[in-house]
Amino acid sequence: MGVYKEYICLFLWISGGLLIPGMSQNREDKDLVLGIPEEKFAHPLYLVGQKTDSAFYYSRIFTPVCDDSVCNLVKLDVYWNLAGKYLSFDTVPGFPLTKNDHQLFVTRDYEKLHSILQDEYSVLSRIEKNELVQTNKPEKQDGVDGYSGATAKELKQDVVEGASFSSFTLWNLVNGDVREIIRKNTIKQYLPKIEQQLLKSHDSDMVLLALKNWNKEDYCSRFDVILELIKRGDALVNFYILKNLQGDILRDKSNQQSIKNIMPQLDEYTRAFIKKYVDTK
Amino acid sequence: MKKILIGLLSIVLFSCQSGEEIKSLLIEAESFDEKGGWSVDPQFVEQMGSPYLIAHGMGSQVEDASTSFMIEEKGTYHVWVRTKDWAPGNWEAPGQFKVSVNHMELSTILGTREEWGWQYAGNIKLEKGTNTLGLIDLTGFNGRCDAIYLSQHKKEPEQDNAKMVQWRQKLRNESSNSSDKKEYDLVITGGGLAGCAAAIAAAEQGLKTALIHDRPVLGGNASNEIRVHTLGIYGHFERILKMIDTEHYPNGSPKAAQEDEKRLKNIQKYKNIDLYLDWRAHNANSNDNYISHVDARHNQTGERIRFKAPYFVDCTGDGWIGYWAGAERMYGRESSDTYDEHWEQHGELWSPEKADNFVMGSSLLWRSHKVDSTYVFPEVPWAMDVVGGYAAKEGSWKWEYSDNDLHQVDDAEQIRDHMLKAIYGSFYNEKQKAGNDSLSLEWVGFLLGKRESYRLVGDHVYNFNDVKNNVAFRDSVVVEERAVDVHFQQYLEKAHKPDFLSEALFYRSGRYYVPYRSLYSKNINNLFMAGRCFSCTHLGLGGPRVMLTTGQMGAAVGYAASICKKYNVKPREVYEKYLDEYMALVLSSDKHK
Ligand SMILES: Cc1cc2nc3c(=O)[nH]c(=O)nc-3n(C[C@H](O)[C@H](O)[C@H](O)COP(=O)(O)OP(=O)(O)OC[C@H]3O[C@@H](n4cnc5c(N)ncnc54)[C@H](O)[C@@H]3O)c2cc1C
Repeated sequence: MGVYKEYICLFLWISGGLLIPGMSQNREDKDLVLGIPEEKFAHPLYLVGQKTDSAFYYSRIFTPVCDDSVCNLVKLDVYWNLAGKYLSFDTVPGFPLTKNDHQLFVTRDYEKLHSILQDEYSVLSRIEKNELVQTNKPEKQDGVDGYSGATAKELKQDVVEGASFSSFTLWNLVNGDVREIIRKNTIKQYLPKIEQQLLKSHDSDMVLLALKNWNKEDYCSRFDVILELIKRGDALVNFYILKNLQGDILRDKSNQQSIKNIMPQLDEYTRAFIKKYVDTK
Repeated sequence: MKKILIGLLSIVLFSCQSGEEIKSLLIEAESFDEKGGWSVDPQFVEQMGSPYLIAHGMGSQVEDASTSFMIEEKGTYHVWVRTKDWAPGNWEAPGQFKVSVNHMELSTILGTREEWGWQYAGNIKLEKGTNTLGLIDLTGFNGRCDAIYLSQHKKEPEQDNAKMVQWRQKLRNESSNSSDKKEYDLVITGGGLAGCAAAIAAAEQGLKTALIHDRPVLGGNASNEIRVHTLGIYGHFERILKMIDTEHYPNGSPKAAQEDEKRLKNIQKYKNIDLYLDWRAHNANSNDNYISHVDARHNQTGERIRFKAPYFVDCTGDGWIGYWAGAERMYGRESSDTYDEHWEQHGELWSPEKADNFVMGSSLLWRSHKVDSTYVFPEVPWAMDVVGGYAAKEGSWKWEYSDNDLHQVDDAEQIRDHMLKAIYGSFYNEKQKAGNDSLSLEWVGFLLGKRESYRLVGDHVYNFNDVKNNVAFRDSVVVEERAVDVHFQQYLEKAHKPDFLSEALFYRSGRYYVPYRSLYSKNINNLFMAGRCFSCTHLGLGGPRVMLTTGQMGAAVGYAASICKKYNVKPREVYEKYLDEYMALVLSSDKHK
C-alpha cells in the first residue's frame, strides 16, 4: 500500500482524469524505454526523472477497444511506479473516454476506472474477453481456484458500467506485460538514485526489486540498511530478507547483536517472525 | 459393486497386564455405538494417532454420544480421556465436554489440556456386565475425544505418541497384521474426483478394482463435506467425468449433497468396483521398489484389511501411498531457477529466489443465513487474536491458511483449527452489527479442503514451462485451458489483512497438456498417482489441480492400468512400448461403453 499512500493524497483532478503533480512538469526529463512498439506493449514507454527522487514510468497509450462489432479509439496517459505497479492515468485533451453507447464518462466513471486499474488481482486478469458478455449462468460463482465463466451481473463491480470492453482492455494493458518490461528496465537502469527510491518505498514490490540486485557481500556491508528495512515490519520483505540472512551473515556476532538490539523496536508480529529464523536469546 | 458392511460393534477391549492382574479397558471414541451429534474425524491419524470424535456444533451443543461396554470384574475404575484443548490461552477452553458412566456424569470438565494427551476424569464403581458410557458436549465448539481408558490402577496411560500405537494395539489385543486379505487387479486409495475417475476407467476395461476412501461419502473436496464445485474441462473423458462432477453452484452450497448421490450411484453401477468407504489406508509395503500390499483400517470399527494387487494408484492428494512405499516426493515452492519458472510480472510471489514452504493453503468453507427468530452466538474470546476486528458472514476460496512454518500435512490440525477460529471470530464480529440478530451459522466445514501438499515424482515433472509453451507431448493424456493460478497470503502484501485470507495470481496460457509420464512414480515400479499429488512443481500444480483436470488424470491412469495388466508390464513400459495403443484408448474414451 505504500506507494498508494505516497501518491493518493496528492491526486488532483484534471480534465476528468487523475494526475500526479510533478508528473506533467517532469515529462521533459524523460528517457525512452520502449521506442519500437513490440508485441507485448505497442506504445512508447518513458522512464521519467530517473535522476530525481521520484522517478516513474509514463506512456501515452493509443488503442482500439472493440466489442463484437464496433471499435473505439482510446488515448490515455498512464503512469506506473518503478516496479511496474499502476499509479494513475490522465485523459488526453480531445480524447475523453466513452462508454459502449458513446456516452461520455462522468467523474464517477473515471474514479471507478482508476480503482479497477489499481486492483492488481482483478477478475479481469483471469477471464477471456468473450466472457464479458456471458449472461446465462444460473447462479453466482466464486471459484477462483478456477474462475471459469463469469456472468455479466457478477462482473458488474469489476468494470465501469457500460464500458466493460474498455475496462477489460485497459486493465490488461496497464497491468499486463508492461509490468515485466518496466521491472526489467528498472533493474537495467540501476542508478543510485533509483535504488534509493526503491529501498525507501513502502511498497514491498519496490523494495524486493532492489534487494534482488544484492549479493551476499551487499548484505554484509550494508547490514544497517537491512536492519532499517526489517524495522518496517513488511512481511514479504522480511520473509525475503530472512531467507537471505543465512550462514556467515548471521554467525557474525555483531550482526546478531544488532538484530537483538532492534527487537524492542519491532512490532509483535515482526518479532515473532524473526524469532522463527534468528536465535535472539 | 459389493458393499462392505461393517456392523457397528461396541468395542470391548480388555487387557490383563502381565502379572499385575490389573484390569484395564480402552474404548475408542470413534467406535461408539451412537455418535449423537459428534462426528468422526480421521484427518490427523498420522499426527495424533487415531480417528477421534469431534463436537462440531458451530456453537450449539451437540447431542450426546454413547456406547455400551462389558466389565469382567467389578471394582473401582479410574477414567482417563484422551483429548486436547485446541485453543489454549487466558480463557475457558472452547471445546469442553464431560463423560458419563451409566448415566452418571463425572464432574471433571474435559477438553482443557494443551496438546493431545490423557486427562483424568475421575473414578467410578462398575459392576460386572454391560455398562454404558456417554460423551456430553458442553460448548458446541469442537470438543474432541479420541479414546477413553478405564483402569483399576491409578496409573496414567501411555502419553508418548511414538509408543502409543503399540500400546493401543496391545491393549486391544490386535496384531499389526490385517486378518482379512483381498486381492484385486488395481487398488486405488483416495476417492476424490481423481480416484473415482480412475476406478471407473479401470473397471470399464475389466479390471477388478478396489477404491479405498477414508470418508463415508465420495468426492473429496467436491463432496458435501467440503463443498467445492468442479472446474476445468473434460478433455478426453467427458462421459466418465460427467458421472462424478458437480454443477456450478457457489462453493459451500448444500447442493453438493445431490452430486454426492449421483456420484455414488454411478460408481455403484460397476460390479467390478469394490467400494471401501470410511476405510483409511495406513501403510503400503514395498520390496525391491514394488508395492506388494496396502493396509487399511475401518475408521469406526478398527477392522483391518490387507489389499494385494499388481498395481496401485495414489489419489490421496497427500501422496500417502507413495510415502509409505518409499516413492520420491516433493514439497514446497521450488526456487525459481530449479525449473526456470521465474515470471518477472509477479516476482517473489510467483516463484521465490530461494525455495520455501509457502505452498497454497488449506481452507474451510462456511456460510450463514437469516433465520426466523433471534439467534444467539456466544462470545469466542479464543478466536479474537486471530480475527481482530474482521467481520464476515460467509467464506469463499479466499479463506485459506498457509504459513512457511506450518506443514500442510504435519500441522494440518493446527491449520484446520486456525480456520475454525477465523470463522467463528469473524462471524461473532458480524453478529455485533445492527440488524444481524437473526443471522445464524448455516454450515461450517470441519474437514480441511486442501490444495497442495506432497507431490510424488514421476518420469516427467510437470512445470510452468510446459504450460507457458503449451507443450503438446506425445503422451498428452490430460488437457486443460483454465488460467493457471497460485495463491499467496494477503498479509504478505498488506499488513492490515488477517492471516487467513489469500489472493490469487493468474497466468493465461491457452491450452496446455499433462503427459502420462507425470502420472506414475519414478522409482516405485507399480505405482500410479493422479490428482493433486501427481508429479509437478508448485507452479505446475497451479493449473491442473482443479477437479475435472484431476479427474482426467484419474481416468488416464485407469486406462493405463488396463494396458499394464494386459501385457503384464510396468506403468513406464506403457509409455515405452505401448504408447500408440494406450493413446488410442484414451482418445476414444468417450466412445467406450
Ligand atoms: C477452498 C477451495 C476451493 C477450490 N476451488 C476449486 C474449484 O472451484 N474447482 C475445482 O475444481 N477445484 C477447486 N479447488 C482445488 C481442488 O478441490 C483440489 O485440488 C482437489 O483436491 C483435487 O482433487 P483430488 O481428487 O486430487 O483430491 P481430493 O479431493 O483431496 O481427494 C483425495 C481424497 O483422498 C482421501 N484420502 C487421503 N488419504 C487417504 C488415505 N490414507 N486413505 C483413504 N483415503 C484417503 C481424502 O479424504 C480425500 O477426500 C479448490 C480447493 C479448495 C481447498
